[in-house]
Amino acid sequence: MRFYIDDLPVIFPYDYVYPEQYQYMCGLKKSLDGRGHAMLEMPSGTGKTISLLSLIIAYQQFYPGRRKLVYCSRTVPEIDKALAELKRLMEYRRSQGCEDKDFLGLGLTSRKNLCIHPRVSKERKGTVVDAKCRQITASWVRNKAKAEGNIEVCDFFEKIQTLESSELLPTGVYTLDDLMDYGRASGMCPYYLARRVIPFADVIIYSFHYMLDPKVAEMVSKEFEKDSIIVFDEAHNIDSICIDSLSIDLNQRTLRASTDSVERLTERVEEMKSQNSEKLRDEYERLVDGLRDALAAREEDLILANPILPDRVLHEAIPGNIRKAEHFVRFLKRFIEYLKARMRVMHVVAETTPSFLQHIKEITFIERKPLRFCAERLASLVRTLEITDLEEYGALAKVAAFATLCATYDTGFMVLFEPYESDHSTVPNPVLHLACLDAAIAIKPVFQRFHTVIITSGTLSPMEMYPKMLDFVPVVQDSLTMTLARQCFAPLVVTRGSDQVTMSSKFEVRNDPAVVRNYGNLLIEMARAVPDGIVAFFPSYLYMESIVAMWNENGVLKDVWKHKLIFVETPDAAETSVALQNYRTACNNGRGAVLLSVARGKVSEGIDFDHNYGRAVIMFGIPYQYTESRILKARLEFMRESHQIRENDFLTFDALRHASQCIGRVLRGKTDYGLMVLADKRYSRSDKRSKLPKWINTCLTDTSLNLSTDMAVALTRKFLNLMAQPFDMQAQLGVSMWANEHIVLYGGRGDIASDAAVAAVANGAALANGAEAMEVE
Amino acid sequence: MLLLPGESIKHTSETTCNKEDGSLYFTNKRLAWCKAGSPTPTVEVLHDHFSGQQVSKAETKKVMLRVTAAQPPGASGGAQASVTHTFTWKHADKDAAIADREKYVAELSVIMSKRSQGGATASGSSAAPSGHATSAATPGQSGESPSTATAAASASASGVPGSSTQSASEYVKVKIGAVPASAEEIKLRQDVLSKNAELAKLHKSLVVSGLVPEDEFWSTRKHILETQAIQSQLRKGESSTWLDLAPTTQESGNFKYTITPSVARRVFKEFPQVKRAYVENVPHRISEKQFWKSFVASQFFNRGRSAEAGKGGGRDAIFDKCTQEEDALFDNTSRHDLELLNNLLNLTRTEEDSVETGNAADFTMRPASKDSKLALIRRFNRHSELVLQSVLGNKRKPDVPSSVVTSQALESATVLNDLAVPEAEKRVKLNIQDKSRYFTSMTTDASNTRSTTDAHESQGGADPLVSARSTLKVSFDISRPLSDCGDVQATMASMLSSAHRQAMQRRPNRIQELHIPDDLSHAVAECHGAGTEMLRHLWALLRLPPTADRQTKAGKIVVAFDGVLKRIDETIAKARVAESKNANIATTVERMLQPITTSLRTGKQAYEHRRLVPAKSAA
Repeated sequence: MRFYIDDLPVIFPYDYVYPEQYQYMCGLKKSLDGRGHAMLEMPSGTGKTISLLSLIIAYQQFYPGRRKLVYCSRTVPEIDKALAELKRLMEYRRSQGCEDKDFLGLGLTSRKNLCIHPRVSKERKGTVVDAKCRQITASWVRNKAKAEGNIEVCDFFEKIQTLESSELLPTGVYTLDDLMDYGRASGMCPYYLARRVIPFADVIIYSFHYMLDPKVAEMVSKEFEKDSIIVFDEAHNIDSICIDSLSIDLNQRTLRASTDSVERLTERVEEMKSQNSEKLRDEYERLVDGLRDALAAREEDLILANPILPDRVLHEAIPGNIRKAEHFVRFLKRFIEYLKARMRVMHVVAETTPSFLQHIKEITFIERKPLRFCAERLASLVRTLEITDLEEYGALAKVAAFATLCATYDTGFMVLFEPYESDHSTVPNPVLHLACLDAAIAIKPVFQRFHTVIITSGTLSPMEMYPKMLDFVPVVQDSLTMTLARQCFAPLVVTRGSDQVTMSSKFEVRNDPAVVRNYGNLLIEMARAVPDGIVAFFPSYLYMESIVAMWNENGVLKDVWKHKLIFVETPDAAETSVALQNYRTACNNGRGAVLLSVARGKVSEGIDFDHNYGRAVIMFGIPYQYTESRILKARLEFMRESHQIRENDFLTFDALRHASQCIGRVLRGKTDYGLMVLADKRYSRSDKRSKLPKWINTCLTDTSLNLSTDMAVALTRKFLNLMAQPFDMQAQLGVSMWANEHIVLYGGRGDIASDAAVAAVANGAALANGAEAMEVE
Repeated sequence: MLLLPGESIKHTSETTCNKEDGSLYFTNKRLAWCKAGSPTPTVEVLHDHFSGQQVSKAETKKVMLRVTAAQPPGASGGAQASVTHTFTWKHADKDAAIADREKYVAELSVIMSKRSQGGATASGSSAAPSGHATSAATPGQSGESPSTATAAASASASGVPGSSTQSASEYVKVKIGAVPASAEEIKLRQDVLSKNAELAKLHKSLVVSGLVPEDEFWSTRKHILETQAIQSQLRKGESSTWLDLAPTTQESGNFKYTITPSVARRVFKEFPQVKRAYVENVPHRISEKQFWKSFVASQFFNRGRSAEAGKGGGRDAIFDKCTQEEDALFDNTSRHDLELLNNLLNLTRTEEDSVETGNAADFTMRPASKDSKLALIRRFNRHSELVLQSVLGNKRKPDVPSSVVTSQALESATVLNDLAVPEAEKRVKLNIQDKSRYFTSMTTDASNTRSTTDAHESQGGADPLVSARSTLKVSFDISRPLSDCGDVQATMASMLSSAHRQAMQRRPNRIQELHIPDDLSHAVAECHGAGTEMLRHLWALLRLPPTADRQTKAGKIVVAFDGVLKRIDETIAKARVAESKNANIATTVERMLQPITTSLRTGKQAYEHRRLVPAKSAA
C-alpha cells in the first residue's frame, strides 16, 4: 500500500498497516525532520523493522541528500531477518514503480560467518579464521608473494584488489547468504567485498559492536557522513553493550600470555634491527609526527571519534620514551610485571583510575602519558613488524588497551582487584577488572557525530531511564500500545502455588522446598494444559542448575517428561543451538517440548518463539542481577551520584526489562497468541508492574494479578480454548489494522483516487467502528 | 559346508546335535549344522525364522544352546509350528566353550531384536518373546539376566532404524480375501472381532448360527481387515519418560535397586559408555551383579543428584572412566554439525560476530563448569534428542540447507501474514442444471412443491428459495451467494439447529416412549442385522452376471431367508405376549419389522425372477 505522512509518500509492502506501525512511522518522520534523536517503544512482533525500513527508505529516496541508513541489531539472525525484510521491501517498491536508482543494501559480519575460502572457512573458531585469513591477505604477505612466489594468498581477496571499489558489487540488496553466493559466483571474498563497498551503500546492517566498540568502529564506522541515520534496534540493552565495550578483565593467563608475546616482540625487534632497520626508523619518524593525520581527519569532521583515542591524545606526539621499538617493549614488560605483582595480593582492592595510576608511578615510575599511548603504539609496532597472527598478541593488546583506558579517563571507570572468584571459593583465581561504569562514554561519539540516532525496542519502559544513562536528549519519545481485535496474549501473575504458599525467587526463599515444589507444579500443570512448545526462563544459570537438579530428585521432571520433552540451555552456543533445533522439531511433530533457559542468556536475546514454538512462556522469578557483585555495586553508586538514579530503581528496571524481553519472545504478529506467566509474588506489586512496557501493563487486569497455580491453569485453559476458535482476519480491519481509508479517517493522508470513494468507505468504516470513528468525523 | 550364493561364514564350532558330532556354522544368512564329513547341512535355520534361543545355566556341566525356529512356510505341518534344535559344545575347556557360545548368542540376539523392532506385531504372534525369552530362560536370576539381554540391548542401542525394511510385519504379505483364508487372515479376523463387540455380536448371530458363511461375511468387510492389518503394524513411538532408577527401601533400611533386562537395555541406550564398560568387564572381570551394584553406587550414576548421594560412591575405575568419556563426548562441541542448523537458530554466528570484551559475568550467570549439574542438563538434552530421533529415524535430511530453504525460513520469520489481503479461496461454482428442484428434498411434500414450482414457472419463475426458507423457519437471505452471507458458519449452524428442532417436533413418539422390552428390541435389531447382511450379499450376487457358482450361492442365501423370516415371526409372536406399558406393542414391533420383511420378499422375488429368466433365455 501507499500512503502519505505529511508530504512523504510511504510505500509499505503490505495491503494493510497496523495503527501502531503508522504512528511509529509518524514519530520517526518527526525525528528525521527535526534532525534529532528519538526513542520509540513498540510491542514486539508488530513489525517494527519493516515500519522502520519503509519509512526511512521512503525518506531517503524522496528527499534530497539521500541520508545513509546504518541499522544496528543485536544478533546475526536478526541482521539476516532485517536484510530479508529490506530485500522484500525493495522488490515491492520496484513493483510499485519506484526506481530507487543505484540502491545498495548489505550487512556486515565477521570473517567466520562470511568466509568462502575452502580451507579457512572450515575452521570452527572465529579467531582462528581471522588469523588464517590474515596470514594469506596481509599486505606484506602479498608483497612477499609477488616477489618470491610460492606463498599462498587468498584468490578471493586478490580478485577484489584488481577492481575498483565502485565496480565490485552490482546494486541491489544482499542478505548475508546472497553476499556469499555472489562471492562464490564471482570469486571474490564477501568479507572484504562488503567492507570495500560500505561507502556506496545506502543501507548497512550490522551488530551493535560495529558502532559502539571502539576497536571495531575504528575500522568500519569511522567514515559515515554526519547526516547518516543511525538506528539501534532491540536497544533495550544498549547501556550494557556500551559498558562492555570499554571494560576489560585481566587474569593470570592473560598476563602470562602477554609476557610470552612481549618476549616474541623483543625477538622480532632484534631480528628486524639486524636485517632491516630502515623500517623501524621510518616508524620512529612517523611517531614523532604523532597522530597528526587522525587529528586532521577528526577536525575536518570526517570521522567518528574513538573513545579510546580521545581528542587530547591526538594533540600530542607519542612520548619519547616509547617511540623506539626496543624501549616500548621494555616498557610493556615493566608494566606487565607490575600487574603480576598486583595479582599476588590476597585481598580485594577497589580504586579509582587516578589512584591506580598514582600507585604505578610510585612503584615503577611509569608516567601516565606513555600509558595513554600504549594501545596505539602497540598497533603501530605490530604493523611495522609485519605480524599476521594477531591472535597470539590478543592478550597483549588487551593489556595495552587496559593501560590506555586507565590513563585516559579519570571518572566513569573503576579498577577492581578480586583474588577469589566468589566469596565462598577458597582457590585463588585473581582477576583485575577495569570496569566502565558510565554507559555514556562509549556512545557519546555516536550521539555527537550523527544528527539522528534512533533507539527502539519492544521494551524500553520506563523511558526516562535511557536519556539519563546515555546522556542524550531525545526529540521524540513515544511508547506505543498494541491495538488488538482479540486479546491474543494473556499475562498472568502467579503468586502462589495451589497450596497457597507464596512463590518467589527472592534469595532467602528461592531454595525453600515448598517454593521449588510449587514452581515445579506450575511447570507440570502448564505442560499438561498447553499444547506444543513452552519456554521457561530462570533468573540465573546458577538458579536454573540448582532448581533443575532439585526437580530431578523430587520427581517433578518425571511428570514433565510424561507430557513433553525437555531441553535445557547450556553454556555452549553450539550445543544450545542444536537443542533449539530439536526443540522446534519436537514442537512441529506434536511431541511438544519445554525449553528451560536463562533470562539474559543467549536464548532470551534474539530467538523468537512464535506460534507453536511458544504457546506459553513462564518467567520463574524476577531476573535481578547478582547484587553482591562489586562491579554492579560500583555502577549503582556511580549512577546514584552522577545521574540521580536510585539503586533500587535501576535494579528493578533492569530486571523487568529482561523479564519483559523474555515474555515478549512469545508473540509475533497479531494472529499469533501466547500466554505470559510471571511466577513471582513481587510482580503483583505496583512498583514492579509499572516498569513493564505499557502494552503488557495495560493487559494486566485484577483478575490476572494474584493467581494461584490452579487458578492460572483454569485461566490458561479458557484462554487457549478461546484462541483456538477460528479468527476472522476481517474483524481486525479498522480496529487493529488499517487500510488507506482508515488512515484518512483518523486524520492522515491516504493515497486514494477520489474524494467520493473516501467518503463512501469512510462511512462504511464509521459504521463498523462505531462511536470512536464518529468522533473523528 | 556348501555355501549359498553371497553367503559367508562368521563363526563355526564343533558341536553335537541329536547325539551326533558335527560342526555348527553361523553365516550372514543362516545357522547351519553339518554332520561330520557331510557337506550339506542337516539342520539349517534362516535368519528370518528364528524365534527364540535358550542357553544352559552356567552351573551345568554341558554347554548348550537351544534354538527355536518357526517352520518356513510351505513346510509340512501347521503354519505356526516351530522346531527346536539343541547344540552341545564339545570343548574340554568349559569357559572357552561358553565364550564361543556367546558369539552365537550375541548374533542371534541382534537378529531377533531387529525383528522385534521392525515388527511390533511380534507381541501378538507366536514368534513373540525374542529377547525376553532368553532372559526368562535363566530362572532364579529374574533381576539380572546374563549377557543375552546385553546383546539384545546392544542391538537396539546401536539403533538400526532401517531394520523394519528387513523384516516387516507378517501382515504385509497377507492377501486379504483369499479363499480359503490364510492363517494370518484368520488371526486378523479374530483380532477385529475381539476389539469390536458390535461386529462380534453380528458375527455370532450370522456366521456362528450358520446363516452366512464365514468368508461371505468377511468379503464385504475387507476394509476393516485392512485397517486392522495396518494398525497392527503401527509402531508405538519411544516413551519419553526419563530413566529414573528409584530404589526401594527395605526393612533393614538398605536400599535396593532392581535392574531388569529392560531397565538394563535403557541404561545402555542412554549411556553408551556403560554399555561399553559392560561389554569390556562382564562377565570375565566382574560378575553381572557386581557390575550393577557398583553402577548404582558410582558417581557416574549419581551425577546431578544432591551432594550427599554423590558422596556415597567412592572412586570406581570402571565408572570414573564412563564419567570421563561422557564429559569428553559432551565437551566435544564439534560433534554438532552446525552446517545442518537453521541459520536463524545458530547462536554461534552471533557469538563469532563480536570481539570478546567486557567484564566476565558474575558467578550466578556462569555455568558451574565442573559441577555435575551441567552433566545432568546435558543428559536431558541428549535424552530428548534420542527420543526425537527414534521417532524421526533417519528421515531428517542430512543435506546442508540450501539457500532456497534459508530464504524461505527467513520469509516465514519476517512476513506478517495478516497484513495482506487474504487471497480469495478457490471456490468451485455449484453447477445446478435445474435450480427449480434444488430444494425439493427439503420440503415435506415433494409433490406439492413440484406443482407449485410448475405453477411458478408458468407465472414467470418466482423464487423457489422462499419455500425452502419457510420450511426451515429461518430468517436469512439465502438468495445471496454464500460468500456474501456474512458469517457462513453462523448461518449454517442456525439452519441446522432449526432443521433439528423441526425434526424433533415432528416425530410423534421417541423410541423410549415405545416401551419395548430389552430382549425384544435386541431381537428386532438382530433380525434387521441378519436380514440386511443377507440382502447385501444377495444383491451383490444378483448385480453380477450370473454364473452357476453365483446361482448356487444366491440360492443358499435365499434359503437362509426363511430362517430370518422365521425369526421375525417369532419375534412378532413374542411381542404379542410381551408385557409392556405400551398397549399395542405388537403392532409397533410388527411395523418395525415390516421394512425388512418387505425387503426380504423383494429380494426373494428378484432371485426367483432371475432364476427363471436365464432358464428362458437358455431355452
